[in-house]
Amino acid sequence: MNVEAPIEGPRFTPVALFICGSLLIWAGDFLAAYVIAALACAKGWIELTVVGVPLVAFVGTVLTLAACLGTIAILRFAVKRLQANGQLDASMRFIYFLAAALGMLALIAILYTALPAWLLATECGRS
Amino acid sequence: MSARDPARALPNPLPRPPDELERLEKVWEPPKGWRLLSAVNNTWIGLFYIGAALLFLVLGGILALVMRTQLAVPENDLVDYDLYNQLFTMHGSVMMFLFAVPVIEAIGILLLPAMLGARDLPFPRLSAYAFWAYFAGGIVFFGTIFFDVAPDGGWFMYPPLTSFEFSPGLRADFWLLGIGFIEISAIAGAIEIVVGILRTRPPGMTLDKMPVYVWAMLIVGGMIIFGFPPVILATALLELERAFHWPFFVAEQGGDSLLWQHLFWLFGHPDVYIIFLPGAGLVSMIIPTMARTSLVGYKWVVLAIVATGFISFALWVHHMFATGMPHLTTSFFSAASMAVAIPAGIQVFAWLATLRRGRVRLATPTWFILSFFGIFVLGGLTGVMLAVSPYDWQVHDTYFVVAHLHYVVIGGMVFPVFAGIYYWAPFVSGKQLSERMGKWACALMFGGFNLAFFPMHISGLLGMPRRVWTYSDTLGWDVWNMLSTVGAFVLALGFAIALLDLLLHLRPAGKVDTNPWQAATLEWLPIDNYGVRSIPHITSREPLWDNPALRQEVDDGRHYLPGTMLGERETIVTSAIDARPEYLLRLPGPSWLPVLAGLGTAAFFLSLTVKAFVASAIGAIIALVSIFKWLWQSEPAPTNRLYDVGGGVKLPDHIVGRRSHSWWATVVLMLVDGTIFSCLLFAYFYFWTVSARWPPPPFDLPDGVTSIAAAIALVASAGVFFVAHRWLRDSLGRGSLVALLIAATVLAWTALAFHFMALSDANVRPDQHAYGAVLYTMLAWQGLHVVLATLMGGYTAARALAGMIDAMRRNTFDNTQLMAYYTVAQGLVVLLAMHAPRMS
Repeated sequence: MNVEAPIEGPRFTPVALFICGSLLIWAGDFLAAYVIAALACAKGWIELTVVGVPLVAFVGTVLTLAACLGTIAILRFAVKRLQANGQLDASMRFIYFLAAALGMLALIAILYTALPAWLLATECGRS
Repeated sequence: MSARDPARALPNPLPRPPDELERLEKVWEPPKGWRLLSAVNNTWIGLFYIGAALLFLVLGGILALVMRTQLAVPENDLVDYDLYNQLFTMHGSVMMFLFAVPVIEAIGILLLPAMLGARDLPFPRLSAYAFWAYFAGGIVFFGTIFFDVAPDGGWFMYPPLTSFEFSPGLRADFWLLGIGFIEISAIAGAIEIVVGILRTRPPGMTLDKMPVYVWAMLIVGGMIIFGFPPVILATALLELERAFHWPFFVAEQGGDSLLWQHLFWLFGHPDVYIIFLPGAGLVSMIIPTMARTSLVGYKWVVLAIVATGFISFALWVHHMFATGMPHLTTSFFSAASMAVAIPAGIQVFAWLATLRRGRVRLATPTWFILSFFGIFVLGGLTGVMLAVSPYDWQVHDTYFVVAHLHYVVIGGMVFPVFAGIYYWAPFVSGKQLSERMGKWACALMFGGFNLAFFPMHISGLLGMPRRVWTYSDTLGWDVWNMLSTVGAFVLALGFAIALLDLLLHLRPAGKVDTNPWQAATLEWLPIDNYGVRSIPHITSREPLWDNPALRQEVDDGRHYLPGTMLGERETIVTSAIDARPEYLLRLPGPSWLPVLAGLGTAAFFLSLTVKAFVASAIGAIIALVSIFKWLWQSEPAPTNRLYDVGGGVKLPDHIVGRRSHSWWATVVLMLVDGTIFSCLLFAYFYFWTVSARWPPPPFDLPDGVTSIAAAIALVASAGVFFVAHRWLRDSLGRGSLVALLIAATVLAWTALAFHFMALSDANVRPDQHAYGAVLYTMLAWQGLHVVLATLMGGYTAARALAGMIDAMRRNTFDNTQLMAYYTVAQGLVVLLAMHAPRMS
């Protein structure tokens, strides 16, 4: 009897990361955008521009694009697997559904929380 | 496949061996009389936990009634401002820390084993420890109100109001250290819940077949793991400031009181969802049963729970809109605060659609659910209003916010919990509670709640600030306050009737064989002290609806593990994703050790508060000795046999490596640990951001050469562990293993000494500036881990010398190794962070 036999079936960590991947990307994007904005206001970088675009808006756009691309990749992979319906059992279909649906939700969240970087890119005023 | 399929073969045949059930009953027999307090299985601990949480609900409610009586009329002098400050602080703290979070964990601990068809969750003694630490500490913490030493800085304890300068004495310390053991207790509960859900599901219960409540508890367990560490760190920093004058929150010395708010609300906002999501999970279980139809949009509800868990961590700054943060940064959180309404809305629509589709049975749980809808949705709507920062500026710190938070918390959690109490009471006692009393309780709670809290929206909009102990009769707040007070007493009457119903009619029974609501999920299988007679094989999300014969099959012992294999308490551990049986877990029986460890932990923290250092040390020693003694009994010698649990499934009674449940628990603990450390790093970089120069003059950077020496010693320590691990798999002798453990420990201490030298040589002191304070805190945190690794190493060495560690029995070593690796990685990051300014 081997009590250290290799793990059969899908492993937990990759599956969990796949399901939550798009939300993790959103979280990373959100945190990075917030940190950049906070630093810009704290360090007086708010007036800096990159190719004529305010720093916060530029970095925000790059981050948003990168996050969207990552999320779309997960979404696309999950949808492709779902379309190959016959090869999946109910459990795996559920996993791909969650990844795809959370991907869509994350995409909305990424774009929605990117708005401040575009609309208020130079607004460090306080109330 | 179901029982309707005649070809279906069940895992175990009839008749069962004559003594099988008798042996099972004997092994799981609970202790009698007062010894019942030493019970550890989660059915008993869950009941203790719920009872204690309800006790704190009553105590916190009494405080609220005193406050409402004081505010009933203007210029009242029933209590003075000083006592009033203690009352609102204790009310908030008791309700959030001693009632809300514990009751949701308690319900989980009670229901989850049955809902998962498991005999018990994997760490019964950990649950018992969590309960006793919480209960003993909570009672003493509450008792401070009778000795005029209760905290008085509000439940979020903002510095500088709570600093040593403005809040001398012990009051704030009681909060800071008193909350410590509650945090430990909550995290212990979360470890049990997360590992339990992932590893003790019944065979066949894949992720798509998990009940929604189980999903909610899994996500909430994860949220506790990542949500509680910020407040653990915050309380530690404020206590260090109060005790040793390390100026984390003192602006003149480079500190920043906003750091507290960031850390507190990084915990505080997810905490709202930590409380709400289990309530929503309960609702998702009760509604389909009461509507006699499947939950509409199961997949979307799960999606909403997962999404809420994530988004809730991006909302914390909406509690800080009025602090003067830049509009740009607050706007991110405004957007996220609105976005979280989407998943909440998905759940509400799914519930409404389920009710619309089914034939609703209007019993007491249904009435509580309907009340929940009205109250929670209104609280959610005012939440969206508060997410708009200009609106928030207008009503910040007014009674509008008090109304909002009570609509969300009482609506989102208390009403579902009472629905759950009425729904699951037969699960505990075999009998329903009184429908008549339940309906009266619900009506009075719903009416009283709205009468108490709806007028607060208006008094808030009229400008009444929260936390005022009295007000002038010229302000026009009289009527609204009188209405709120009358409503509070009506609400209390509703609670009293419900609790009286519980006292009169709830008697825990041993054997329970009832399904009064004709529910679909596994907790309604016949159960006894041992849980289910046999662990069912699951083929659908609603097993009792799809296979009405399942109750009988399970009770006849026809599914897995119908008896005891080794004459001990056992359950089946399954794989995390596809619930495939992996091994037989031998569970511990009743013991006083968790009780002693819990009481010792509470004594440690509370004695520390009153600076009774000897008593505190005794408490710590009692806790540590008890924990090590109970650990000594864990990982019993494997029998090296395979046990047939039915259906041809043969399982070992022991496993090592990544499939072991203890490995999972250690990893979860390290996630907690790593999150605390990440928050500490956040504090370091936060100070760096708000400082004009870093390091601030006149301080120097720590010495580079000494720091490199520390890094080398750390890496060497990890290397020794790596070698020991490799050799242990090839039958390393016990003497050599002990020698390697000693070498690794010496190297870790050497690294710590170099680390300290690097700081002290740079003339950095912790009490001069936030720079020194945060560097020394990182050193102290690393030191704490070295101490912990030393204790674990010593324990591992002791087990090795006793012949209890070898290649096939080495979970203790593996766990110590994980902690050692974590300590090394953390130490390296600390050293890097210390020298990061060189790169700027």
